Amino acid sequence: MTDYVIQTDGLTKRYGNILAVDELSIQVRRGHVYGLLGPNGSGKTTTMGMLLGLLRPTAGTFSLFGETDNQEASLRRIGAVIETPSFYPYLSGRRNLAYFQGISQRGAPDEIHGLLDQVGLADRADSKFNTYSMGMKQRLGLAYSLLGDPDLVILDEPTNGLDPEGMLEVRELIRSLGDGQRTVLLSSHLLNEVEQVCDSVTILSKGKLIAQGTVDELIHSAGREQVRMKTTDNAKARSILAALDWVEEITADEDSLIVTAPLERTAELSAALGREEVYVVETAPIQISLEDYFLQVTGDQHEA
Amino acid sequence: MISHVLGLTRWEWFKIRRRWLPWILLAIAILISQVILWGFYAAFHLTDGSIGDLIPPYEYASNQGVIEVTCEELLQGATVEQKASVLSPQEQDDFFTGLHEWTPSCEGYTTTDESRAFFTLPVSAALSLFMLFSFETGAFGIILLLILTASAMGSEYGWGTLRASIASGPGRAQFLASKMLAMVFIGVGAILVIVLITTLTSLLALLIPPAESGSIFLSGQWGNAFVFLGKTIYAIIPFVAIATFLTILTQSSAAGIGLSLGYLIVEWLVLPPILRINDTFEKINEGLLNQNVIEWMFAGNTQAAETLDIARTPDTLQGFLVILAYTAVFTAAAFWLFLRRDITGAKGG
Repeated sequence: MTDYVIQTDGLTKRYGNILAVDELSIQVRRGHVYGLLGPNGSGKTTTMGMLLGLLRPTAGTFSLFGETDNQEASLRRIGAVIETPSFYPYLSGRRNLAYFQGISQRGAPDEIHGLLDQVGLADRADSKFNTYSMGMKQRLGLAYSLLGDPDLVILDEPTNGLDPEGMLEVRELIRSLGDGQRTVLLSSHLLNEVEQVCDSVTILSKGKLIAQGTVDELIHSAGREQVRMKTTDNAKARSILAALDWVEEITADEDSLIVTAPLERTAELSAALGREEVYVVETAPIQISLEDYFLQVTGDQHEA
Repeated sequence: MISHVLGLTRWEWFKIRRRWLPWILLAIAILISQVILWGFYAAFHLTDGSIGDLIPPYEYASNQGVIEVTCEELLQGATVEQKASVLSPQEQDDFFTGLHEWTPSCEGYTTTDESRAFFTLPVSAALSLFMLFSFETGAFGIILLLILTASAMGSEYGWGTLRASIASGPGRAQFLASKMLAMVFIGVGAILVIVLITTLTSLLALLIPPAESGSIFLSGQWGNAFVFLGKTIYAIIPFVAIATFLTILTQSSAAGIGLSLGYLIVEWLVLPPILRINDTFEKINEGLLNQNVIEWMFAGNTQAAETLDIARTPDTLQGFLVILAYTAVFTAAAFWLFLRRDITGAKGG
């Protein structure tokens, strides 16, 4: 049994002159919650669409559960919601699930009530889908994706339209889905969501993979350790620190300086300033977040 | 594979039976068939038995007085001979010469027995199908079937449910096959419902005052009626294929319905007169679907067809093959497109 649930190799999708996904090669490990992160139009949904057999790749290959063919059998092991959950508006939530369970031949009819209960829709299970709020539609989409206890769950922006409480519940649910052997592929533009929920992340920009790894790995790979310093004379401090060859960059930020330098040498910064009678009033390391990293790498990409 | 497709067809029925549209379309079809039946019933009684009573009788002034012959009498033959028997040989010659010249005015006339057959089983049932599905009488049944098929397929694009359906793994080909099969089954079901209701109302028509003393069933027509039923079912299949293909092409209910009806109108009303420009084009006319549907349905004519004067020079085999060819070509085109095309999100309309 392969360790990788999804493997893509040079996966490419072109719409006329627009390159939506550009030679994407990713590997999604079994049992992980895997995040696809990228600005709008970066190719996240297109990638998911190709994996689900909805879009035909222009080039490249992919495998699901180690198999490149027999896609229908693989799809029956996947629960997926792409973009806005789409269901039959004139059917109730319960009947929509019954229909999709019937055509996908996944699970047993008696699991539907439990799923609706799990996503908090039991009370409105018999209401027509067209009477649901956006949040309820998202919840029904989640229930749909869990039909038949799939091995892989693919969710595209699953917290769209949810209120803060709903977002929290869904994030907890996603996190719990990733426990054990089930794999979750999640796309989101909410960086903190990905940071909280995902084990591994792939960052896409303009259809290209620009970074891949665990959240910690990505932040550390940024290689930008920074310290915020407030001194008695910021202008003089700036010229003193600039003379140190191990200080990469110094920028002014309101009444502080942002110094890019190894954090373990923060004491040496203070000492160097002290020797020139410039005293440090306040100092604090800057924790780079996934958001900072994301903006950094996608910004680089846009500039390129 | 077959059981999987049949299973999907069952789920298609699960969905579609909960929509208003198929029931509204069925109600319209039933209404049309009933209007036809009760229209014939009313015409029969209002014209004292035969449709066409308003044709003035042939009148011959003889020494014995004026002898009148109606179309009804003319078509029954024996009565005319009896009336002529009182005339002298010379008068008989003049009488029959005049009668011969007058005879064309009875063309299209239906006798009392024929008129009665229109609301008597089994002709009434066959006639209701003929009126619904024949291009001679508006092809309302085919129009309703095109609307339903295009709507069933186009809604999947409009609501974005096609994406969820295909992503859940039934297989694209199987999904489309089940959809088309469901439409054919629904078409057949509608035909059977119409026949059943026509059967019941035909019996009712002969029982309510003024009750008819004639037979409730016409003997010798049942075989033709069942053949006609089978032919009608076969004749609707290409229209399911056409509407499916055009809706997949446009990925929209509204456009699918519009194009399907447009295709029908062009093929049925626009092309035939244009193609009659010369003999070469006329040959193309013989390959048009609507022409062959008519030929197919009325080959080995039912009494209803004969009495409505729509008897053709039927070529059953050609009609059968052309319908088969249209079904095959449009089904293949629908599958080809559906299997290759990207499926994107909800499109509305």
